Amino acid sequence: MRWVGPTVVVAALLVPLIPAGGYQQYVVQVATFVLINAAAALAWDIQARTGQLSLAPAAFFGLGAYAYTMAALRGVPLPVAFLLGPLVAGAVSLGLGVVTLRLHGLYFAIATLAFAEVVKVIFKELPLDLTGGAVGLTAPPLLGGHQTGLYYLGLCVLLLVVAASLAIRHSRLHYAFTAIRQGELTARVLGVPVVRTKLLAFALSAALTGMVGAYATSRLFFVIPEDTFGIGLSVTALATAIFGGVYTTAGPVLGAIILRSLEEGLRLVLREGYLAVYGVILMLVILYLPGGLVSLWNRRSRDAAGGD
Amino acid sequence: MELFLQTLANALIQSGTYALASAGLALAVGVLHIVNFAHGEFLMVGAFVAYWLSVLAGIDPIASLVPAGAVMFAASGAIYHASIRRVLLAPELNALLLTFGIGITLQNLAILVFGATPRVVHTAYQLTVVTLGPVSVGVAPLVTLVVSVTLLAGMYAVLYRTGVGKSIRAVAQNRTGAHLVGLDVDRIYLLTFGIASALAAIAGSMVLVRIGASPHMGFGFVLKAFAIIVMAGLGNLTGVLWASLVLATAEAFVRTYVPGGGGAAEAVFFLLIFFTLVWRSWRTA
Amino acid sequence: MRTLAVAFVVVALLAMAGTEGMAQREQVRIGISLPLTGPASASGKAAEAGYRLALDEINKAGGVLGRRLQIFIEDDGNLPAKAVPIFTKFVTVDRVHAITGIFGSAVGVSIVGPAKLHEPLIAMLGAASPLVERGFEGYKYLFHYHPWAYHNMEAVFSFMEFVRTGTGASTIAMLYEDGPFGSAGIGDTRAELIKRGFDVPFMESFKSGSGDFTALLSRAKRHPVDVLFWIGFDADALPIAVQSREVGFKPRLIFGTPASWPVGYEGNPVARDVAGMAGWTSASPLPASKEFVKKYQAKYGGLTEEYMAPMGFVTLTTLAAAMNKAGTTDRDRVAAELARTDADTPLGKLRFKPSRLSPSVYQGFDSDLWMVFQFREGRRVPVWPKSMAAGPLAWRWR
Repeated sequence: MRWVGPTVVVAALLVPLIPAGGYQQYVVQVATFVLINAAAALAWDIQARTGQLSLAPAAFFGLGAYAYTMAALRGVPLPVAFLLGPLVAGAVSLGLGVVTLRLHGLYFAIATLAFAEVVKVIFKELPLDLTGGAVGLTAPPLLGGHQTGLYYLGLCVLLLVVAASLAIRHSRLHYAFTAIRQGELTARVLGVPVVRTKLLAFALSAALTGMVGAYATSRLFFVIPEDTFGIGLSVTALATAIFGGVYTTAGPVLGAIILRSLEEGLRLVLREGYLAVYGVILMLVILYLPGGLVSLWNRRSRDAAGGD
Repeated sequence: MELFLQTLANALIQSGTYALASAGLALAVGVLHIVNFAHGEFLMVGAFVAYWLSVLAGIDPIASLVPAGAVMFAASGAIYHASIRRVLLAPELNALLLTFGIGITLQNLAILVFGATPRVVHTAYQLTVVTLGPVSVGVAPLVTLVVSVTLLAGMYAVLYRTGVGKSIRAVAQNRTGAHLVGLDVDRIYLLTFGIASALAAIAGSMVLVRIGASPHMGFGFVLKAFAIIVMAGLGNLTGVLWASLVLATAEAFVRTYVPGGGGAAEAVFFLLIFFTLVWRSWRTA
Repeated sequence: MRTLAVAFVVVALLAMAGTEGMAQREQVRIGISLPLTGPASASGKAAEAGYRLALDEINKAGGVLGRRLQIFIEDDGNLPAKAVPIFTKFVTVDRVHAITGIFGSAVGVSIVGPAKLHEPLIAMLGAASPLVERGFEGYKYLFHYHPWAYHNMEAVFSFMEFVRTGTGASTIAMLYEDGPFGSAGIGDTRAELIKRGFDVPFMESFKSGSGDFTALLSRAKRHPVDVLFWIGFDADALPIAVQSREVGFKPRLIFGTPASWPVGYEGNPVARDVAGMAGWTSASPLPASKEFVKKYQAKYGGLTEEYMAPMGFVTLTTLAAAMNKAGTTDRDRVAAELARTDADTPLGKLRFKPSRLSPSVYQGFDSDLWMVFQFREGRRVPVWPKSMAAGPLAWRWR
């Protein structure tokens, strides 16, 4: 299994060079969106490993996107503006994390959802010259909008998230996360610093999501409360992670690749009603592969809570 | 003073719609622990059943409550059997993705078959208004309020005063234990899921009168429904009524009295939920 | 496992190459990006119908440059995330000679980047936001057919003044949906109305589709409102009309500007004398429109009230005509010909002029496109402007 990771990375590096003739640019475009989905899904998964199932990724994605856009529009050098994304998202998440420490399961999920919705409305209602209001703002693109360069930047963002995920996986944090997920009280008794660990997971996940948001804006050139903070983002992230296989590094990434390609492929073949087929596929996969797609590889460990 | 009373009336009426839309979800999530993301689409199915009955057979949507509920009850049975049953023992996340997939499928099938344009019906009482002094409310939403209170009270009665209800509660408390004492857990899940889905459909047929039916209508409702049942406390059915009332009242007053409140009302809705959840979590320290 | 992965990639690539096939070099190709799914699909599908009708006509008349015109219609769901790859695919894979469609403003903004990279000829069917106009500043190949948001508002102002002249109305209550469609320039709209002598004591935003207007309408009741002016979507039409009555709010006129109305609204007594703004109705007396309706009926066996249908028809027809007149698919020559368009279309006279905020962009229809109708006896009866009116303005609620 050790060759899978490096192979995928090499393949990803080569995507812009695929001799797909006229398709090349199109493939790069789709691949970039795959990168965004994968990074967001994996960032969500990192927090999910502590049992905190958050519906706030959209909020942090949006905060990152807006932080970048607002800073860039005010003359802040683009790289700095880009870094503001994760900073702002991470900072806000710490506050949210502290407040929601004692919430679990669906209660936690809904609290984060409520938070995300409130943030969306705030951005809609703020003065126009500050945040663009409901109409949104146009964002200056990173790297001058160079497509291939942006693809590699996106790949770097994803690799950063992957690195974070792997770092946790191969450290004691993995045990701490899993312990908290399987029983917070027990974890506490066992000496796991629960509060610190949960906050770390929250902040890391949020900061990474914020970075994805800042990056994604360079693809869409546009932030607008309705879409940038839209709950669709959160739901896609978690659906992708579950589909691919939760609590693993490969799962969310694989899920993003397959799902996005599937959607594009279905749309090209079936112009109408393809989303219905998409829904059916989601259902079938989770019914027959309860551990997500990665369980196809882990025939030994059918336990979905095991991790990669 | 007039405006104050009217606002209270508006809140009361709106809470009826919220409560009715949330009732089924309260049952599915609170009792069955099934996070049913397709709840909004079940509501949509009910709305369309009522729509077609009205357009094709001239049946009034209020009379369609029963057929809409029945159709969804049957459909949910099939859905349960084919899919949900298998994820009950899997991690909760799987049910989430599964119902999400069901929701997407249903929504897009509806778009494929009916088109995305909303549809409205005409009923004799659509414009009938009931006036009590300075306050005036529509008959249709008033009926929705009555129906929702009745159904929630009925649900409560069934759960706490009947044998079936006791079985359902037993399964909700401890699936294995219930199985051990001889209850047919599968059948109880099927029944409860059916009732929950039927309730969603009933809400849909009431919403049809005042708003219309569209494939996208489910989403807005499911979001608020989740928020309401969580605020009420999972498993707390009567809580759904008061949570709906509190939230509808907050929304109504913000919209009516706060300048620029139209946009802020959404935020207030979710802020209330956020603070209630957080406050409660810290209180039971 | 590895073979499976390889097989998957191969299948995926094949699927992408799929039904459209590698572009045939002889034909003229035009890419059309439309929302065929999602909340905007009603408009998108109407536009598609118009495009396909135009395609039939064009090919029946000999095609473009002597060959059959080929179109690629893709569903962008009105989402930038889908529209951007589609745009790129059109330019790099399908090698189209022009791009049309583009319904929503968010999509319009998102394709600015890819457009500036490849500089294709774009005949934009929709998009009203000034953000799109400014985004394309300096772009030489954009033909924007749809009026901009400020044109829409100019039509509204003219209509309001018409109402005032005829009835003495002066107080307007405004409701707008809190997304970009309703909120764009809303403050300016109100300021302009006040400047023109109207009183706007009430202006509030609402969440489209929420279906709950009782609170807002109860507040509006406190003012002697003549006209309730709302900007939202089809899902809001019924609740606003119904709930106004529920709370006893009785403006003399309800005037809404959604892009489309719900099915069944016309026949509903609730809709009686509700006014709407449309770019076109099937009852338009213009000769070109009657032709269009006849052809539409022949092909599809029914009528449509969606103005996006003739809009799509006009876009493709004029684009093909320009290509034929230029005798080439060369961008600059086609643009020069298209800029000289002076056509009598189902939507009225079409002539391009420099766009107000971005003079390099060619602007087609403006505020003259719009007319106001009222729902009466199950139909849409145009009441303004005088040249299109088929009946008087009904001023009845009180």
